[in-house]
This record gives sequence, structure tokens and C-alpha cells, in this order.
Amino acid sequence: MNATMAQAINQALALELRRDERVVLLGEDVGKDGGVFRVTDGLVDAFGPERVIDTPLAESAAVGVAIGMTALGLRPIVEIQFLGFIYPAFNQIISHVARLRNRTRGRFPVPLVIRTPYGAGVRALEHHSESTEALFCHIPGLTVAVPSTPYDAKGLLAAAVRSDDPVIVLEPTRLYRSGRQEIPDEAYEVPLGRARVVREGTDLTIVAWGAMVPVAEKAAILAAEKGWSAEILDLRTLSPMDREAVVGSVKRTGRALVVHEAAKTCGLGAEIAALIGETALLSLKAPVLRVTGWDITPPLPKSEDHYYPNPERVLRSVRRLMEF
Amino acid sequence: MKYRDSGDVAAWEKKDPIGRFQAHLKARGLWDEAFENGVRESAAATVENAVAEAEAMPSASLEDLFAFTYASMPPGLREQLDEARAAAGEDPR
Repeated sequence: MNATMAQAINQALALELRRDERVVLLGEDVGKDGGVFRVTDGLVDAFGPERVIDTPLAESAAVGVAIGMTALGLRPIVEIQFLGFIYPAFNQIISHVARLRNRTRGRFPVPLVIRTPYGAGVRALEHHSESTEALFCHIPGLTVAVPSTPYDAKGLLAAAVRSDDPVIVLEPTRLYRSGRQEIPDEAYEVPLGRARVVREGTDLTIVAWGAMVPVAEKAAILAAEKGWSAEILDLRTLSPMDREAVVGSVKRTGRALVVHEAAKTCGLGAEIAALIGETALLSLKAPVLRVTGWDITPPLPKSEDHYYPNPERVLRSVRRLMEF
Repeated sequence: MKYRDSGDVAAWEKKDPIGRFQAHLKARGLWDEAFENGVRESAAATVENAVAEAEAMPSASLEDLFAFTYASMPPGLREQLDEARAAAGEDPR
């Protein structure tokens, strides 16, 4: 079918609920309302209120209950309405979700999915534009996935639900309905931990994910007009990262640029730059550069265009790399 | 209705204190059409003026987006502000 990302995710949820009776969905407004972005539309009618559960406005409780469900053999999917609302659940996620497997020497894995829209670009209010993926990548035991296309959104979510580890799936709000893609009707998996080459190139590697992938693609077109050939890697899974894909590409191109909309300081770009420094230093023709959001609270709607990277900012750094 | 049955809402609407107070004033001869029109017009004007005032506010400057992150701006953040200004086509300080 020809689907938006929101429809692709809805389809993945329906297929997983149908495939495996241990799968349940819970979150604020996921049932009767069908989700603030319509991602869970129709699911409570199809699967009933015992499997598609409206929770109170209590993120910590939703995640805590889901942990209990995993101990009893269920495979819950928790929706957090916006990434900026997840902080009340931090204690559950960090103290228990991420480490229950380790604490119990493998007896109690936590096959839990937390999916949540993230990122700026939809003219939203405070707490609705955050891109704090690095907070989760820093916690051992968590898998963090971010799709940038309808195809990957459907396949990554299926892989997340079937994973025996907790997976946080960050869905770029800006891409829910920005484009359509032909995707298979049936269920399929996009493997966790594997990056995707969006565009092949020879002069530099741009590493991006989520809503920054289309920004990198536009920048690569601008760069091509200047005669610079950019390869684009969509990480798809941020942690554990596809290190071979990143290092292999940079060894071939000799230049690397990381684009993320999160703040620069201690963002994932720093980790990627360190990885390249540790493994591919002698291949580098220029320092690894980062184009990121600024180290400020994401601004309110009128000013948000100044916050996250745009193709022109990416192109400036491409020029710096190429003219180093 | 997203969170309530429409029957519940209809039952409570009958007890709406604004409507009850209006009926009370009418019954005592303290409410007429001219008074009602005046109240409605002045309330609408208050709201419209507030909207106009809000819409006339200038956008926040780039400096403003950065300035309240810390008591005083760290040098690294100052560099980012200059970079943001250059990206926006503003002259760096």
C-alpha cells in the first residue's frame, strides 16, 4: 500500500497485535481517541479495550505497569504522547526497564517497546519539540531506533516488538505525514542495529537519522551542484550503533559530518566523532564536523526554524570539510 | 465527546450557573437585551484587542532565544549564537 509514516506504524501495530496475543498497547489516548497523531486509530475497535488500553496521565505508571506485564509474559507497547513527556517515567526506564535483565542474571528480560513522537518542526509548544535521544543511548541495556521513512517505520517497529530487549522507538513528528511510500501489506522486519545507505557518494559521509535525513538529502543535492559527492547514512538504530557502516563509509570518503537536531553538547554526534577518531583517524582528510541544534531549550513556534539544522547550514559545513 | 458521555454533559448543562444567574437577573428585571448586547460587545472587544496585541509582538531575536539559558552566557554558547546569526544572515557581533 501507499502509506504515510503514521499509517505504516498503525499497520505494524495492527499486524503485531494480530500475530501475537501477548502484544498489548497502552498509553494516553491510544484507545478511544486513536492517538494524538491518529497512529493508533481503529485499534481499540479491532482488538478491544483489554489489549488497547487508555491509561491515566501518568507516564511513570504506564511504563511501570508495562514492566509488570513483561514479567508475566506479555509484550507491551507503551505510547508516550511526546518525547518531552517521558521524563516522569525516567525512574522506571533507567532504574528498571534497562537493567532488570542484568539484575536477574537474564531471568527477567524486558521485551517492552516505548514509542514516542519526537523532534521539532510542527509549530508545537514547549515540551513537544524535544530530541533527547542521547539520554537513552547513554543507558546500557536500551535499544534506540529512529525511522525516517514509512517502510523503515513499519519494519523497525515489528523488529522492536519481537525483540527480547526493551526498545525505544522515536518517531519523527515532522515526518508522520510529510510523504508517502509504497510498502508491503504484510508484516516484515527491518533489523535493529543496521544503518541504511540513503545515497552513495565518494567525497564525504553525512550521518543522520529521523527528520534530519531529508535535510541531509537536500544538502547533498546542493553539494552535488558544487561538485561534491556526499554519501548519506541513515543510522536507523542509534544504540547499539552500526559502527561498521559508519567507519566503513568514512574510511572510503575520508570526511564525516554528523547532522542531528538535538543540542550539540553531549549529543550523539560526539560519540560518532569519537568512534571515527578511534578507528579511522588516518583515513581522515578533515576533522569530523557536527551540524546540530543549539545548546538551548527548543524555542517556541515562531522561532523554531532558527533552531534545527537546515540544508543551507549543512552545506556550509560540507564546504568547510571540502575546503579544509 | 472525547472523555465524557454526551448525556452527562447535557445533564450538567441544565445546571450551568451562568445561565441560571441570567435567568435570575431577568426574573428580577435586572437584565435586558441592550445590557446583554453591551456585555457581549465589550467582551468580544477585549478578546480581539488581546489577540491583536499578541499578534503584533515582534518575533524573539536570536539573542533572546539564547540569553536565558544561563545567568551569563558561556563562551561556547556565545560562539553558537554567532553561528546562528551567520546562518540567519545576520551580522555577527
